[in-house]
Parts: sequence; structure tokens; C-alpha cells
Amino acid sequence: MNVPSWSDTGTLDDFFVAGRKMWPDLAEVRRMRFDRSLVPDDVVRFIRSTALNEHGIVHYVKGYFRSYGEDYKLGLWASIWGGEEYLHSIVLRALLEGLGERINPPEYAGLEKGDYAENMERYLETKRAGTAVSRRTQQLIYGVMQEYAAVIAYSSVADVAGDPALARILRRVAKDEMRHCRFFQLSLEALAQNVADEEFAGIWDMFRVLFKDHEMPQDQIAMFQEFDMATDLYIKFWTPKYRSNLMLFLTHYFRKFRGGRAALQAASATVEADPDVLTALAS
Amino acid sequence: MQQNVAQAALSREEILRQLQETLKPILNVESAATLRPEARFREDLQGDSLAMVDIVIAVEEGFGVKLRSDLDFFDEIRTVGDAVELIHRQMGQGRPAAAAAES
Repeated sequence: MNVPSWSDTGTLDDFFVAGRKMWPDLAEVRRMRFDRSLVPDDVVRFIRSTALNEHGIVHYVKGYFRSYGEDYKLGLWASIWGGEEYLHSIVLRALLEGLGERINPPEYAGLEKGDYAENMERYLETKRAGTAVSRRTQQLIYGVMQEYAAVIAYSSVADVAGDPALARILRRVAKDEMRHCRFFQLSLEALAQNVADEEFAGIWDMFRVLFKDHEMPQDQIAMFQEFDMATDLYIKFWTPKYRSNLMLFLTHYFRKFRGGRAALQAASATVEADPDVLTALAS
Repeated sequence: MQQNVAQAALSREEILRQLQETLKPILNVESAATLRPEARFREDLQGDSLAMVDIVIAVEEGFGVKLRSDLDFFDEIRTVGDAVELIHRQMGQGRPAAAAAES
């Protein structure tokens, strides 16, 4: 570890404080009831899968700590992020209960003993082999991609949720994920200014490598496949417009790293992410 | 990748010629003739998701245009000819696509 990501805790503090204000109406959300007859079965399965996935933060946070090494401030972010995703787990479980369903003990057991660490390690190292990109930088790139994929996932399901109140909650979760995406973007940009030229030059290529045959975190836990709740379930909701938006958003974002550090600084002055675009995509 | 060309509009034929040269390595095609206007990126040219990323870069950096983030890429740019038309339209308008954040 030879360069810092963040030089101070300012951005972390801002994200943490803002995060504490999320879901002030959680008690009301937990009392909500939905019209199950309006909600497609695959939507319910999606909510079940994501409730479990968000419950899987122990695996994911451990993975982040492995990737971030001695970067203390990114370790702090991993802790903050884990808390916020666990809050999503509570919200999503509340949605399931509002639909008359619950997570079953075998599902929890399968997730909690999951085989994420070894699988994810192998996936990331295979993608990183022969490049100048550090594991830490790679993890941040993957984080940007994964969080925006989550935005797309929740937004696309909200379109077909059937019950308008359910759709509104799912869109709120999507906005939270956009927040997480933004933090990964800011962290990557901060770190990129300090890494060696060769590593900086490798960021665009690493995005391309990770984009090709991209695997989501739940792909590394066997339980999701066993219960037919893996990535195939998520992407079946992705209309061509959502797939297009995912590809264009990520391409436009990572393109900033193609022109060198000065170009990145100039480009970062404006926020690329526009969650309202997703509203326009809603069918 | 090509250098940005001037914003003055090129003819469709010139855009096609330049685009074909740029797309050849992206789509692993030896002859520009394979990249005829009616060739479909996915069905005929086996363009995968990564190829689409590279095509976006080729279009934007090669011709100085910007694709909208709400563009339905897979529906509006199915063929080489669709890409030519989009580039021609935007170069002729002399501005990037509407409603896109600056990169």
C-alpha cells in the first residue's frame, strides 16, 4: 500500500451522515401490505433474492477488506456500506412480509455458509492477471459497475411490480444504490490521482475486462443458483432500454479515464450520473 | 482510435468509410465490405456487449458526437447503417446529442 485513497474523512463523513437519514419511515414500511394479486411471481422471487443478497453483507464486506488491504478509509467505507445494505435487507424483508411471504431458514443457512470468498477471489484475480491494476483499484471499478447494475435491477423490477406502493419502495432502494455507485466513483477518482501512470492507464482496460461476461456477487454463492434466484432472475427484467442505459452509463463514466489525469479532473467536475434518466426509461 | 474529426458534417459515404475502418478490429472483421450498411451488429457481426462499448467509443471519439444516456442503443443502432445515420444526423446538427451530461 503506497498511496492513499482519501487524504481525509470529509467525504466519508458526508456519506455517513446522509446515510443515517435514510428510511426515516422504516416503521411504516414494515407495516405496509401489498396486493399480492397484482404482483408477478418473478417480482416476488426477485425481492426474496435481493433480501437475501443484502443480508449477505458479511461475505461482501470481508471481500472489500481483503481488496482494500491497509487502506483504512476504504475500510471505513466498507463498514458504512455494509450497514446501509443491511438496512436494505430489512426493507426488502418487510416487502416480502407485506406480500405474505418470509425468508425460509434453509435460505438463510445457505447464504450464511456461502462460498463467496474463494469464488470471488478467483474471479477477480483471473480478471486482474497480467495487468498493472491493483486489487484495490479493481475492487473500486467493480463497485461502480455493480452498484449501477443494482440501480438498473431495482428500477426495472419497479416498472413491472404491479402494486404502485411496492414500486415506489423499490425505486427508493434504486436511488440508494445510486448513492453507493457515486461513492465508488469518487473513491476511484481520488485514488486514481495518486497511483502510478501505468496503473492509471489500466483503469479503462480493467473496466472492459470486468464488463465482458460480468459476474454479479451473488454468482459466487452457490445457494442462489440452487434456489433459482441468481443473476438470470435479475436480468430477465432488463428491457433493451435498461441494457442500453447500463452500457452507456458505464462506458461514458469509465471513458473519463482514457484521457489522462488532467482530463479526468476536468470531467469529474460534473456529475455523470442522472438517476432521473431512469425515470424516463420507465415503461 | 481515430482523432476527433471537425464538427463540419461529413457525407454518409465518408462516415461509412471511416466507421468501417474503425469497426474492423472491434468486430474482428478483415474486410470493410463485410461491414455493409445493412449488416446487423449482433446477428450478422456477432457483436457482444463489449463490442458495443467499443462501438460507442468509436462513434463518439471518432466523430465528435455524444450518444444520449437514454438512447435505446440496441434498438436504434441495430446496423452499421443505423450508426452512420445517427452520426450523420448529429454532425449535421453540429452538436452532441440532447439531454446527455457532459463527460
